[in-house]
Amino acid sequence: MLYGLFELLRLSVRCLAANALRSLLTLLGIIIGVGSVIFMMSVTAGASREILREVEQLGLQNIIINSREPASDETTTEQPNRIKQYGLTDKDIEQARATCSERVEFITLAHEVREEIWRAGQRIDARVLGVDAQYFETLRLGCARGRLVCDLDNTGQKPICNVDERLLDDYGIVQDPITVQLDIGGVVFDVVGVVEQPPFTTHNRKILATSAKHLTVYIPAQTALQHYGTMTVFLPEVQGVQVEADQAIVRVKDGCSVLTVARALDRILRVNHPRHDYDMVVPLELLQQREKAQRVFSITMVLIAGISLVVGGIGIINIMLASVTERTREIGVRRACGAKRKHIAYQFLIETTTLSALGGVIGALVGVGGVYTVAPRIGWAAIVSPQSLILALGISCAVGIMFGMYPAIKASRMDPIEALRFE
Amino acid sequence: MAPVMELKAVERTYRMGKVNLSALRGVSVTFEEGEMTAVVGSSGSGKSTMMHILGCLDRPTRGEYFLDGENVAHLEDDALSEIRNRKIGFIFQMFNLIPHLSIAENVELPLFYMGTRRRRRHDLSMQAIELVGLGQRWRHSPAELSGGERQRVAIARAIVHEPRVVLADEPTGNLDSKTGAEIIAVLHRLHDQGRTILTVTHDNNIASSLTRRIVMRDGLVENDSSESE
Ligand SMILES: Nc1ncnc2c1ncn2[C@@H]1O[C@H](COP(=O)(O)OP(=O)(O)O)[C@@H](O)[C@H]1O
Ligand SMILES: [Mg+2]
Repeated sequence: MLYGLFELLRLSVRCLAANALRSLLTLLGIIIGVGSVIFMMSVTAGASREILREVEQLGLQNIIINSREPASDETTTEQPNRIKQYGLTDKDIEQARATCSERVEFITLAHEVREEIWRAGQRIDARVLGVDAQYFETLRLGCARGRLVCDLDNTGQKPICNVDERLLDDYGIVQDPITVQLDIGGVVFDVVGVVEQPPFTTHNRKILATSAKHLTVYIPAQTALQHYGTMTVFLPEVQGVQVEADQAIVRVKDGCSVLTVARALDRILRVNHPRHDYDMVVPLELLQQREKAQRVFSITMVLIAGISLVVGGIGIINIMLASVTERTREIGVRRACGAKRKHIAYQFLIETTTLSALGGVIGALVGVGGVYTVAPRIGWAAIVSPQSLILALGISCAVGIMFGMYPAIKASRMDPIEALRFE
Repeated sequence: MAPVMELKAVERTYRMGKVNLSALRGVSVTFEEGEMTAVVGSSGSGKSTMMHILGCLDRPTRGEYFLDGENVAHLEDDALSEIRNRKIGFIFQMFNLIPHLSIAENVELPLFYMGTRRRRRHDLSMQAIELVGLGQRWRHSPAELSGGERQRVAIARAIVHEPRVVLADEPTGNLDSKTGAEIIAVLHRLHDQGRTILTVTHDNNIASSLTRRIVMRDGLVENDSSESE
């Protein structure tokens, strides 16, 4: 029977074209349904890629723990020396290393030195971070000029530093950065390298920040410890802050569960820090949470699409039933000329499917158009995938076949004599 | 030689609610190859009902129908479709052309359901259209033709697949007498070529021009000129 497919298709197109407006109106439901499927899939694909890219900046194998000044703890700070003590301690890190040694590749620490930076009589507003070489590796911070802080600097406690690329711009430093010297709390540091401005999103910058300052000067952790210790005392009120580590980034070994390690770390920290003076961010968890939120959106769109498709399908049944009635005599003539019931059913089914496939094509165009006009305006990065187009066409054909079945069967069951006599 | 069509005590009753209406009440008649027969009778006498059974569009309630020696009285719907497709050419009073198909496409219909290839279908339909004298107009749509021309197209459609019999139910009923005569002339020409033709008619001139005449009345054959000889 497939041999007549082309003829029947051509015939379908002709019949539909003869009633172009009616056909188009019938297709609205399918068009909206397919359009929203495409739009939804494209937006979801785009959003997923964005989310993944953002979270990947933090490293999916990383766990980031920041020390946090506990919210007004007047009751516990009744210490005579008024030194605020909070955050991660060496003890935490040691316990973490001991508990998760097989699962953790390394733990890199950052200690913020709360000292002022001066250069040639100019105050530079940047945070000073004591770090080791792994810190750069973990956050994939690249080197723009010179070299980054290395392990030798740490063991030698050298007074050298790296600065953010933007720091040079912001403070108008045009001379060769490698010759610049910075005074940090009375100690002179040689700039040995410039750190590439990381492409972190605002959200990620917030997660990684240890203070409100935007710019960073990196010095070797051991140098920091030697010169400044862990405690900073602000005169004249004799107020102080003592934080042993402001940030710890735990790199979990490939193939080990990040979430398991995170739970183990959380258990340790919860015991050691009843004041909860730390924040733990698990990028992988972040990814999962945001993907879940994404799914809610997708489900809503799928519902809309589903309803439109059903409405569209009912429209198609309606129009095809009308068409079957209008063409009763044609059915009788075809039967008299030797058409079997299945030939009649097949003919109407092809016509319905052609109609709904046309709706699918228009819907796909509308959807793609929506993706390229609406999505950028509301700030969604959408990607149209070929799979979504194929799916959309598949869905529309399926709707055509499903909802075309009833009119087609009805047409095929007509008695030829009655059909020929139909006025 | 076996007759082309043979009805044996054929009855056809319609159930109308509780009442049974007998449209045919025991019709026995045979048609030989190459015969051209007129069926006459008053309205409601069962002529169309008999034509439908002969054309395998309908089945007898009781009795047998042999077409080409094969008993087709109790065949399934699909089998009847196949027989109509191979052996029957039908001409209706209402022309019954499909409006959105061209003349050629209308004529090709039986070949389409036979599975004939496109090129061959076109060639055969062109021959049939030539035969009824509409060779130039095969691209036209039925709406562009006059009544007589439409009926010619219907005749072309009824013969394009070389059926065993051509059945015409009042083919001139919707035409003026001059055009009707032309249509009958076409049927005569087909008969001269050896076709078996059966036509229902109200027109006595037409009926008397044919070799055999069957008169029906109240679902029975009242008179058959081939028997009265
Ligand atoms: N589908 C049907 N249902 C009920 N009665 C029918 C049907 N078809 C025909 N009849 C009845 O059968 C009788 C014969 O009809 P028909 O064969 O059409 O007569 P004719 O063609 O000779 O005018 C009529 O009384 C008609 O009313
Ligand atoms: Mg009649």
